[in-house]
Amino acid sequence: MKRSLGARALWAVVVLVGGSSPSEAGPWAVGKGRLYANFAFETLSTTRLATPDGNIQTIPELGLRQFGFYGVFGLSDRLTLIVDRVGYRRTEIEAFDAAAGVEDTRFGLQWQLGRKGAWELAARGIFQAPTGDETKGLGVLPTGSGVWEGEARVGGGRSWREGRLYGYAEIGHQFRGGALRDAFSYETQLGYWLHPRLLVGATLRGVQPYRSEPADDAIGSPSGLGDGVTYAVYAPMAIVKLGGGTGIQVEIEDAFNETNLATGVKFRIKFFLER
Amino acid sequence: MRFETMALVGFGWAALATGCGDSGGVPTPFQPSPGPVANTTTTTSAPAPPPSPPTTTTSVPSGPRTLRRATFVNANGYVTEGTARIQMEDGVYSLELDSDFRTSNSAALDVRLCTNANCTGDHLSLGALQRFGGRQSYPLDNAANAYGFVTIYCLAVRLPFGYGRLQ
Repeated sequence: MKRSLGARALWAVVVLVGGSSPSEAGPWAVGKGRLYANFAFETLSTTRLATPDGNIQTIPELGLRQFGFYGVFGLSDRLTLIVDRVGYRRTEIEAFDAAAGVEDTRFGLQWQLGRKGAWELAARGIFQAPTGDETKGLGVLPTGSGVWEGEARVGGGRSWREGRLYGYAEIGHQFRGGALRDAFSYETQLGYWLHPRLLVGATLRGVQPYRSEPADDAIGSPSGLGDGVTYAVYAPMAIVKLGGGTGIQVEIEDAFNETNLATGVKFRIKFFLER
Repeated sequence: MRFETMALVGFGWAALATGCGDSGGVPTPFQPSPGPVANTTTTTSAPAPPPSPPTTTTSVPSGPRTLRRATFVNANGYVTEGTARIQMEDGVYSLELDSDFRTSNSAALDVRLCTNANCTGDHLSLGALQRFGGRQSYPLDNAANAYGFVTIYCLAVRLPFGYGRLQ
């Protein structure tokens, strides 16, 4: 079946401009002088708490609402500046308390390690500044961990079928300050362009601390910012390009293999802009 | 309101124990127990042949007497360790967390006496945990024999961080 000239042109734009992954992670660079940014809203309502020993307990309803900004800018064809997250969150636990405030801020750089055929390799370093407040909600509903953190990742990805199908995998080390234990981090994503304006995909990502003994520091336990937080998240997603470099990304995620955080089905919507 | 009431009870107890000293609200330091409290009166037999010596009981200050003791174990992956005692001193009851007590650093922790380890049934709240570690004292109205467990309970997520069976 022959594709129209217009559809071919759109595919070419997808492959050349957006890289193979239009979502915010992945080893592809945006290119010198180019920009990708999104504004996200996410919401979670759950009564499920994964305790530090990994058991699931029922707790009073916890509600979480988050707004976040993510942006990348191509400093060169190999170096990309990343504002990984500037966010605001509001958390409440039924019949206990509610707290809101600015989250910890993440920023960093991505360096393209190389390209061979359809393969792309990159390394990324992220710093997390403690701009949140770890004392909110008596320390049970913090907006940040209260310490400097960081993450180093390497990843590789490739595309197939003229860029219609792509996949990548990343592994990393999560550095956590204070008494918070470090963790191994990972992420993989597969995406397929059903139509030049419509992508469907799925992400699997998580963190796994290197040590699993009971948590001495349980502050922020339900918030996912405390010590020994473990999770694996799977998230189906869809992206619709609206035109003019804008689009919408919708994700639904759930978690397994979790400890020391409240988990449940999380809904996320992002409005993005590519220039 | 309940905390204030307990603070007042604690003050009154400390004041009694120290002769209205200036240690209001501060738990009474542990003293070795002299054993069962003796009667403080002295009685002498009437004028009669001397067969038996006069029965005399010596007056001694009463010290704390441990009624039940518990050793904490972790719950739900949170750290809680050390020992607790329900004690009586001069007719005043209290729950004492010993110097080896330690629990996970968290907020909204309550000290409770419960009928089971998960504290899901009847319970008696003794107030907010004063410190995450070390010796501390919580006044009781009586020996609280109806409760078999002492629990460190998180009010936010309504789960125990640790408990000990009182024996």
